Amino acid sequence: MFEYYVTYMINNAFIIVIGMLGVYIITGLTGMFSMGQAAFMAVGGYTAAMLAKNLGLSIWLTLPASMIVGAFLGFLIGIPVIRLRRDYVAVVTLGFSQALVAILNNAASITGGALGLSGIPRYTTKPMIVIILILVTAGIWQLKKSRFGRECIAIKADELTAASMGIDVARTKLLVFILACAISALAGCLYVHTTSYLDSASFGWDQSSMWIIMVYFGGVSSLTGSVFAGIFLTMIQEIFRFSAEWRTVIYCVIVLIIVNFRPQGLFGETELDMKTFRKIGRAIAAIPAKVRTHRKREGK
Amino acid sequence: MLLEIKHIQKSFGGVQAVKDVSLKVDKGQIVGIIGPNGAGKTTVLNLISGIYPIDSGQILMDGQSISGMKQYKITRLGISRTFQNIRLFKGLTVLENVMTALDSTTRYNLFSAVLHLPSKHRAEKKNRAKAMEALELVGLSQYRDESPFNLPYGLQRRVELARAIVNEPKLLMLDEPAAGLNPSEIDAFIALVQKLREIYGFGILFIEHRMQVVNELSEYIYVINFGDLLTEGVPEQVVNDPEVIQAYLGEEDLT
Amino acid sequence: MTYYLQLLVNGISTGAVYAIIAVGWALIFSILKFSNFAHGGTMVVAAYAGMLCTQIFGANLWLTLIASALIGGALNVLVELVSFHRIRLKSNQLLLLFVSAITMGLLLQNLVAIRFGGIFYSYPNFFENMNRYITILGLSIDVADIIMLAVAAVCIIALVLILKKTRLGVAVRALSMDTRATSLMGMNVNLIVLSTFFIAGALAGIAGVFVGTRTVLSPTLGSTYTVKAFMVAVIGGLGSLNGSLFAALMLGVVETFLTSWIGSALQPVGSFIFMMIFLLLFPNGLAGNFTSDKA
Repeated sequence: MFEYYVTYMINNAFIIVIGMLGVYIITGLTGMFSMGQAAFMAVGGYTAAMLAKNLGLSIWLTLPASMIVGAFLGFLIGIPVIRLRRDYVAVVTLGFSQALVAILNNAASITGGALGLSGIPRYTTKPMIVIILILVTAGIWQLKKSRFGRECIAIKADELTAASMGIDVARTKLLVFILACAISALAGCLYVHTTSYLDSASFGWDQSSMWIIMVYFGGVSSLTGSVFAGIFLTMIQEIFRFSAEWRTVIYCVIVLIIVNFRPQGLFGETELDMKTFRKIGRAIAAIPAKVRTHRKREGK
Repeated sequence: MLLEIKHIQKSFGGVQAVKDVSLKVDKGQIVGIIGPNGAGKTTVLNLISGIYPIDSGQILMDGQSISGMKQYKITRLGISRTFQNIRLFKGLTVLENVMTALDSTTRYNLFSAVLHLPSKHRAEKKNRAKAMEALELVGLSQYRDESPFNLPYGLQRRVELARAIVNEPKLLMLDEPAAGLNPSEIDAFIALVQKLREIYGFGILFIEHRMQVVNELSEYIYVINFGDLLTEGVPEQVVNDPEVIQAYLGEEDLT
Repeated sequence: MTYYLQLLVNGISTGAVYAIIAVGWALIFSILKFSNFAHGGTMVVAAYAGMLCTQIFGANLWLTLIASALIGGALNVLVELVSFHRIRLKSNQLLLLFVSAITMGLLLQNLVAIRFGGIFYSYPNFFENMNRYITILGLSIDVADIIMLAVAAVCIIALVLILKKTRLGVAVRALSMDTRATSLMGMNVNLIVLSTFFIAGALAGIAGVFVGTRTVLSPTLGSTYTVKAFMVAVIGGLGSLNGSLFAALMLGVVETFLTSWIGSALQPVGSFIFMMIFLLLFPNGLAGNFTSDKA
């Protein structure tokens, strides 16, 4: 039983979380609204599937290939919208995801259409997925703690002031948009090599919205919070397996409560790093002393 | 000449915010702009920093025309500024806020950032030291890891000031830097700005309402009224100008 | 030639449905300055509610329209109170409103899916006893489309009259310019916002009935039409009523032509490319007067 959950967590939750990290970069870090991010997971998935199936390439080639294709499409879509208001990024990513699903369903000879593709080689192992998730998270952590991360957060807070710090807002946005698309595409590649099956239905609006909810749930600015929330929410999906709709309804209600009463998300801006742990440690260590003074006061 | 503005004009939807303004700032000179509310002072600063393009006229920085240039490029030429309503970045600490002003000119790429390569490590270390230096100058080094929004108003202004000077600009523009400060804070602020100018040697162009600040700080003053240049001169001369007093009449006291 | 005219007529009918939705969307954007992604959710709930009216009470088209409009309006008021009210008053952060709106849209859509999912429902034929098609100048036009165009026109004219002539309309227009000034003028901002949501919801409800009569109902219509409304808003210029109206008709016509050329399956691709080209040419939309940042 326990083993089953571990397998489920690694094979499903971890891969979904890697895809979600694309949304974290675009929405959580930079404040743009990505509403079709799952489409880039589909891009990565189909690229890897076709290369592996038709050309017999190994994962060490399909992985970079799917990331490159994802990045390239991110670049094409990013260029026209990046200069516009944030809402536009939402509509363009959304439009792109719909268009992509339409193409996938119609190019049946290549993509299997609505029936999907099956028999894709299973290349991934559990340790591999775990390591890739850790590496990607660490990379984004480093990104956040670099000049790019600060530029993104500055852009999210106030574009005009960011520009007056000498930040080339459009360039930075485009750069991180491309990076985010490559990461989501990477998740797609892992996905097909894990499930060996792929259809266009799993990458629609629902998945993209779910990613936004996950990022938000954990705390928009907190990377570790988003990763935690992503794993947690995907895991409880397993509990509500009997009905996808009820599950979504419950998520939505939870998010509406959070958005109204704890608008910074569960973790807010706090990262689960050593600093926070030390703080928590100190707080716990201080409890006995507090109890003692409290008792003394009571005694008097 | 550091900054030279020749007959700039700007209107918004038929309203002429700036009709005809010319002014100059020399290297290391402190120049004040005064005038009643809605005279177009902030618009002049916004035009210099490239937030809006000018309709006509010319803006020269070091003799080079910067009209029509993108905002971030103008900043990189060495024009920094602060804002009337403090605009610090939410989600970044005090230190990180200051570092944002250095980031755009720091040369390491996305791969070094993600992989934490030595080039990133070196640049970050250097920038952090530089930002700390600026924070020390404005006396805020002990708040480096705080969120700026937890600081009192007067200190937030100093964070913004540190952020504006950290990249060693040639020209510093301050938009009502003393607004919201109490009298003792104002004295300290004037001393601080003078000290910073000694150290960095930048020219300063500032807008201010408080005449104490204007008198003590500025070496030259331009008076703007209804988008036009009313008069200019050294402080003693301008403050006693009947036309200036007339423009301010009913606006506020000149004390 | 007749064929293209026929397509044009069909496109305008499709565009009319988009117009009713998009005008409500633009109305909300103009006063709150954010895109209400829950709009399609309201529409789809009202569409199903209208369908139930026909099934349970055997309501005719007009009664269904009225019922749907009322339900859509009431629901939209609820949407505002639950998902936007507190955020608006407390922080008014764009990101929060965005998350709240898509969550609400997803919630409404999934509630519909729980109750009605799996089985296809459709509206009864309201025009059983009539000759459904009339022929004008060699074009055969669906009576339902004519009625729909007429209703859409009436709705939009009514909306314009409300905005131009009533106290509420003046208040809404004032609010779209400046929230603070409006509350300073002694107007009850909340009441105006709620009324606007009611009007937008009622329009969405009416649109829902027409969507239902034109296609088979499905819960995912919510997100589909949210996207359409958003596209229209972007093409028309965010928050502009005239721009949205024109853009809605344009999108309807473009889509109809694209469907006839490349097939309905690939039509989203065409629409997407159309929108991208449009954004490149007119980054601010047709009306193009919306500015986001203030210095």
